Amino acid sequence: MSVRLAVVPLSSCDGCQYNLLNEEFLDLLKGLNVKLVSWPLLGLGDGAETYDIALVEGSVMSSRDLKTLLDVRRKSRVLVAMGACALLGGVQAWSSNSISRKLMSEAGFSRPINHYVKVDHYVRGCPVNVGEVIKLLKSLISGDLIYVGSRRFNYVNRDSFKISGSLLEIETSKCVVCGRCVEVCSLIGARALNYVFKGIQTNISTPYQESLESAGCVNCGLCFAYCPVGAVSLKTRTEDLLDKIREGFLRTAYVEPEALASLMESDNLELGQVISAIKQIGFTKVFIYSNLYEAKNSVGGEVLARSPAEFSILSKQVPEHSVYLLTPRIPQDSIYISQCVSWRNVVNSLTTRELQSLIRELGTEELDSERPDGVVGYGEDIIVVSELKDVRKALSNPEKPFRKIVFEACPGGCLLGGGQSISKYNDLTKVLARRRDMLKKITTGNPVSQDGERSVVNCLTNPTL
Amino acid sequence: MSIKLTSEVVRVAGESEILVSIDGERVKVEYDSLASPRSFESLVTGRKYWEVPYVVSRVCGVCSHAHFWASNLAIESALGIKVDEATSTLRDACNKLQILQNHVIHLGFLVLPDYGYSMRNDKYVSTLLKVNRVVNEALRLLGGRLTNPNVYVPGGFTEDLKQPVIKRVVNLLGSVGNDLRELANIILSIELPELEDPSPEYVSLRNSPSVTVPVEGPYIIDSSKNTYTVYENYREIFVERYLDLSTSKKCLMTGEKVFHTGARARLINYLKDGSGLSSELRYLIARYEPLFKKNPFSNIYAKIIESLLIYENLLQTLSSLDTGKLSRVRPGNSFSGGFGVGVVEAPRGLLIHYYELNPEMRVIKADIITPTVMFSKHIEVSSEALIKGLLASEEGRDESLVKRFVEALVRAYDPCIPCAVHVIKMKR
Repeated sequence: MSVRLAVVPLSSCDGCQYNLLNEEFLDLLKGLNVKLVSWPLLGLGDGAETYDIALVEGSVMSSRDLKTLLDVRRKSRVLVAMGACALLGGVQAWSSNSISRKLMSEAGFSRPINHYVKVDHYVRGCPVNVGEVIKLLKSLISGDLIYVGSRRFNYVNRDSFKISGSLLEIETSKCVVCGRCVEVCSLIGARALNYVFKGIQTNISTPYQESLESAGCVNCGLCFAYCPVGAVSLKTRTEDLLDKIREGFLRTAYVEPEALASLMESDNLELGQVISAIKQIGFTKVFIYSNLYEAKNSVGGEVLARSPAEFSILSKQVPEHSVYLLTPRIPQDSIYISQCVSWRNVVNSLTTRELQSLIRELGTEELDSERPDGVVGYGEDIIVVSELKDVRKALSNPEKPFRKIVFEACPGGCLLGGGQSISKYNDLTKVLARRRDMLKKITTGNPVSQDGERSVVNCLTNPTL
Repeated sequence: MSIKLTSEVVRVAGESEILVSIDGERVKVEYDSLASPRSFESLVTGRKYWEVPYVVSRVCGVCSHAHFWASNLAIESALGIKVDEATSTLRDACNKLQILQNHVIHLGFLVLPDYGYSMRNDKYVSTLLKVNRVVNEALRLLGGRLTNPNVYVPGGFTEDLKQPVIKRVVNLLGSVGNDLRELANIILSIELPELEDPSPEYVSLRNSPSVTVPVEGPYIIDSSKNTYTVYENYREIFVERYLDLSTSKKCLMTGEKVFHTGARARLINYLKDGSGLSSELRYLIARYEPLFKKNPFSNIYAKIIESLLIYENLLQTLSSLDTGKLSRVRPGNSFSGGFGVGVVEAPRGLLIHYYELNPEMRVIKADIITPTVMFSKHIEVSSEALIKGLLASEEGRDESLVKRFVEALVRAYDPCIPCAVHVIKMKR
C-alpha cells in the first residue's frame, strides 16, 4: 500500500514548495511508493482524505490558516513542520517596530504551527534543504523514527556527564536546572558554573566541561549547600577520619562557633549537648576556636580571608591589596570543624554538614551537657564584611587605614556558609536570625567574633539550606 | 440569468480566489488573495541597509532573486554606490535563471494540466524535470541557493566566484537546449481559447529581457504608446488604489489605464528595437507578435519563447563573462541620508523597490510594487471580457465550463500571491 503524502501551504513565500519541485524529490516519491494526494500548487487534492504524512509550510496568520492547519492535523498521522515559518513563525513574525506591530495586530500575528497543534517532526531552514526532507521521509517510511531534524525540539536523551573538582562533584543526570548554583557561583564572584546548550537541552556545566578548579571554582561549597536535589556532592572523607580517630591519630576537635551555632539551630541542641556529641564520636578534647584569632598576626591594612575560598576570590578581584589567609594554627593530632568546605585542601577539617550526619548516626537522645575544654577567640577591632563591594569601600576609607577587614564571601556570612548543616527551615532570613541567637549564646562572655551586619541574599527565595 | 461563481484557484503560487457575478448583461469579476498580508515594508523599517535584501528576498520564494536584486539596486543608488559591469551581468544572469526556472515550472506543472496534459504523462514530464533540474543546479551554482539568495550585498558579490563555476553553468545549460525546444514545441502546439484583450497596454523595462547592463536609475519604461523615465516619480506613474468594492489594492498606470506586464509585454516591447537575436527567435517572435497583442492567453506562448530567448542570451553573456573583473565597493563613511529606487524585470513583470535611508544607513521608509499587484486589474477586465464572450455563445450556459475557462485565464497570467500580499491591507 502506498504512503499518502500531502503538502500544505499556509502563510509563507512558497519557497520551500518550489524547492521540493525537483526531479530528485519526485523520483524519490516514486521510489518509496509515495502517492502525492494533496498539493494545491500542483492542483492535487480534494476534501475528504486522510494523509499518512503531511508537510506543512508556512505560519498561522489568519483564521483561514488555522482552519486549514487543524483540518490537516485531524487528517494526518504524521505532521511535519517544514521551513522556518512553520517552525518559528518566519520573517513575518518579526515585529521590530510599532508600525509593524500595529499592522500585525490588524492582520494577525504570525505564529509557528506548534503553537496550535502537535507537530511530530521539524525540518529547519529558510528555505528547507530538500535532502533533509527526503531523509526525514525515508526514515519515516522505513519506520526508523529517530531523525536529526527533531533533535532540537524533542527531549530525547539529555547527555549526562559529571563535572568534578578536588572537593565537589556535579552530576548533571540528577540536575533539574533550577539555576541556584549558577546564581550563587556568579554572586560569589567565581563564575565557574553556567548554563550550557539551548532550549530544552539547557544544562549546567563549566566551560567545555572542564574540571571545576580550572574553570575558576574556589571550593566555597555554596552550590553544594544550595542544590535542592543533591546533584552537587562533596567528596566526603568521614570514613577515613573515623578510622583515624579510632586509631588514636586524631584526639582534639577545634570547632568554629559558627559551626556550633548552625548545629544547635538545625538539630535543636544545647551547646553542651553538641560538645558531648562531638566527644562521643571519639574526640578526647573539644575546643571552641575561631580562626579570627589568627588576625592577631596581621599588621592591619590588609584584607583577611576567612577561608581559602575567600583568599582565591580576593586575589582575583582585589589584586592590588595584600590578602592574609587566616590559617588555623592547630596541633597535628587535631581536626578543624568549620562551616567552610574549602579548608579541606589545607588542614585536617570536617564540615558542619558531615559532623551533623555523624551526630545523627549516633543519635541525639540522652546527650549529657559538657563544657568545652577551652575557648579561643578574638575580640579586637575587626570589621566583618560579606560583600566584595563592601571590601572595596572599607579599603578606600582614608580615616582608618589600618583596620582589619575580614571578608566572608558567603551571602549572609559564615553562619550561612557552604558547609553548614541542613536546617529544617526554608526561610534563610529566619535561619540566619536563629543562628545569630545561638551564636550570641555561645559567645556570651567569650568574645570570639564581632557580629557585623551581614546581608542575606534576597534572590534565593527558597533555598534548602 | 444571474450566476455567482466562486473559485479558489489552485495551481498558482499562493492562495487566491476569483469571484464572478453575472447578472444579465453585467459581468463582474473580482480577483482577490486569500493569504494574509505579511507587511514586509514595515518589517524592514528601522533595519540596517545590508539586512534589507535578505529580508525582502523572503517576500516570495518564487522570484526571490528579483526581489534580492531590486532591493540591492535601490540601496546601492541610495548610498551612491556604482557596481561594475561584471557584477551587474552576473546578477542579471541569476535573475534570468530564476525567470527561466519559474517559466519552466509554471508552464510544465501549472499550465499544461489545463490543456489535457497530465502529470502522469511520462513523455513530457521527464523532459520537464530534466530542464528543471539543470536550471535549478545552475541557479544553485550562481546564486548560492535556489530561493532566498545570499551571494551578493549592496556593493558587489561576497563570494569569490571562480571561472570554472561559470564554465560549468554554461556546460550544464548547453546540455538542455534540445529539451527546452522540445518543451517549446509542446507548449506552442496548444490550442488557445479565443479572447480579445480589452486593455492592450503593455509595460516593461526598456530592452528587457536580453539587455540590462548598465542597470541604474533613472529607468526607462516602455508602454505601448509612451515611454516613461521612472525614478522617484514611480508613484505618479503606477498608482495604487482601492477600486470599486474590491477588497485589495489594484495598481493602474497614470491616466487610469489598466495594463499588463510580464513575458508578453516584454516580448512586444522588445521587438521595438530588438537586436542580436538568432533568426529562429526573430521568426518566432515575429510570428506570434500579433497574437500576443490580441490574446491574454498567449502569455503562455510568450513565456516559452522568452525562455528560449533567455536561454540563448544566458549562454552568450555567461561564456563571455570574466569573473576576474568582479569587484566589491563598500559604502563610504559619510552618508547624509537619501533614497533609492530599484526596478527590475521579475519573472512576472516589473518590480519596483524604493527605500529611504537615514544618515545611520537605516531604512526609514520602504515601498514595494510587485508585478502581480500591477496586472491583477488586467486579470479582472480580461476575465470579464472572456465571460461576456462565453455568454454570447452556447458554452456560456455551462457554469463549470465558465469556471474552468476563467481559472485557465488566471493561470495563464501566472499571478504570484506571496508577492501580492506583501503589504496589501484587507478591508474589513
